[in-house]
Amino acid sequence: MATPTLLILTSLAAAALASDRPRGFPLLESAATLDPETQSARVELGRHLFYDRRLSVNRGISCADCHQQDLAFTDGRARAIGATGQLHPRGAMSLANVAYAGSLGWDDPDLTRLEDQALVPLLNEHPVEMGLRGHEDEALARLRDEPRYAPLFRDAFPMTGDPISLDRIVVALAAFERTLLSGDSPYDRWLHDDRPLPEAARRGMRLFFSARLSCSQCHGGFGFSAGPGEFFNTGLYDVDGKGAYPAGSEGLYRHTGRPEDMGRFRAPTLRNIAVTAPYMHDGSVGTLEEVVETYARGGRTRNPLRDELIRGFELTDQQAADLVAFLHALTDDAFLEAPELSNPW
Amino acid sequence: MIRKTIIVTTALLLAATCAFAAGSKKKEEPAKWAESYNQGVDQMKAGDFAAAQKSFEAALAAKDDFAEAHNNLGFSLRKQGDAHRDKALEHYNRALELNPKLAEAYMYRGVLYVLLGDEAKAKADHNTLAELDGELAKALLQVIATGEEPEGTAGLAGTWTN
Repeated sequence: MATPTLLILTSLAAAALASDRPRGFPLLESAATLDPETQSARVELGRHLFYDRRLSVNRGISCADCHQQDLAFTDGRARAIGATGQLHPRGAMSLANVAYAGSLGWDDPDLTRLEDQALVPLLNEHPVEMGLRGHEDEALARLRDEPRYAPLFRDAFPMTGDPISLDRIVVALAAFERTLLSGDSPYDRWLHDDRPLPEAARRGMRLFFSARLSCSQCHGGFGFSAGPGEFFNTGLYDVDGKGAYPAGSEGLYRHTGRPEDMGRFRAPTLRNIAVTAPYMHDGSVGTLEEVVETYARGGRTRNPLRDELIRGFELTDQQAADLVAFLHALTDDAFLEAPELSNPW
Repeated sequence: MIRKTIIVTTALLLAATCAFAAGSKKKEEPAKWAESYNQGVDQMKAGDFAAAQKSFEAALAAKDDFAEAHNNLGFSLRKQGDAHRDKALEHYNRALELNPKLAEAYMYRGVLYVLLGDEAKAKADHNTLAELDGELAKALLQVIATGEEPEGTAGLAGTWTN
């Protein structure tokens, strides 16, 4: 008797979570049109899949191995490592508020649907991430062997024959990812509840939003991230003196082939940035202090293609520390610990 | 049956004629206040706040419930000196009373609250604004965070095109 009641309560909680947006966040255009029960069932299925190593070729990794909750869904590595040990040219991005991202990944302007993105790590061969290309049926068979999946799939995709398919897996993963909402940091409580920030953080905020530093020009808005179609060259590399970035990580140029797009990457969200070290698309900057130092110098190199906002600025040690204190005020502890986002297995 | 149809048709025709007459009469009136208002918008953009003030006052003399004109008048007054801040606030409040969804008025009022040192009220206006206009909300957040008034006229309610 207790089990059905518990199930109903769980699904209600999940439905509420899925529809609740953090304060100050806009309504999502892609907001779910499904009935709440099916929607929450998809989220719950997606959560199980997200944490399931059966979804990699050798059961080596799950999505959650590169996207760990306590690290704001990053992995603490400079660059991600796939199921077969291949090193990815770029680091795992935070999934906080990924539902609002203008585009997905570091440099692909056309990858905008979470369902499409989920296929990339599952099937990618260059490098191998989860390595399922050519092994899709084996993975589906492994899921069919797990008794918990039959009811999860049935509730998430009612009235179908065998609902276990790759298409539905990515739909469920995307549904779960859309619930990874983070908007309850000390900064948010300062903004919405008029709660005080530590003085250093408040001083750092003044610098962060100032025209002189222009941090908020790229890391702006409720998400502290770039808008759709915005990619920036921050002068991290200049391998040929003409602005080239290392092969395999040329940024937007990889997709457009336009010379001016060399080295341009998406400005990631700064929410929870204090727990997502190391930094930049390839983890080549270790700490927030070093990040601030790099921007103060106007980039690590004099790359001729770097964005005009990367022009350097003067900061005292105290000001640099204040800026970092503000970045720490963007950490949402509840998000990092939320049980409904954690491993259900 | 035929008679009934004729009566209904006649009634409809009469109603349409009246509506047309009312419509064209109304159309003449707005032109005057809209013209003054639009002139004020141009003057404001050019930085001539004293002239803009007069234009918005003229628009409001003809149409007191013109939320956008109240908003822009408030800004035009404030830019002419700190002594006008109270009056500006009154106009922003009136604009929002008339149209609680007028994003521009939250922007201008929020900036004024920052200048008056009332960060809590500025944040409240920002939070309402975030639901109405993300770009303006970003601009207001920058003002609140830095305590510095922005350059330009962001928050200006634009030209009347009806």
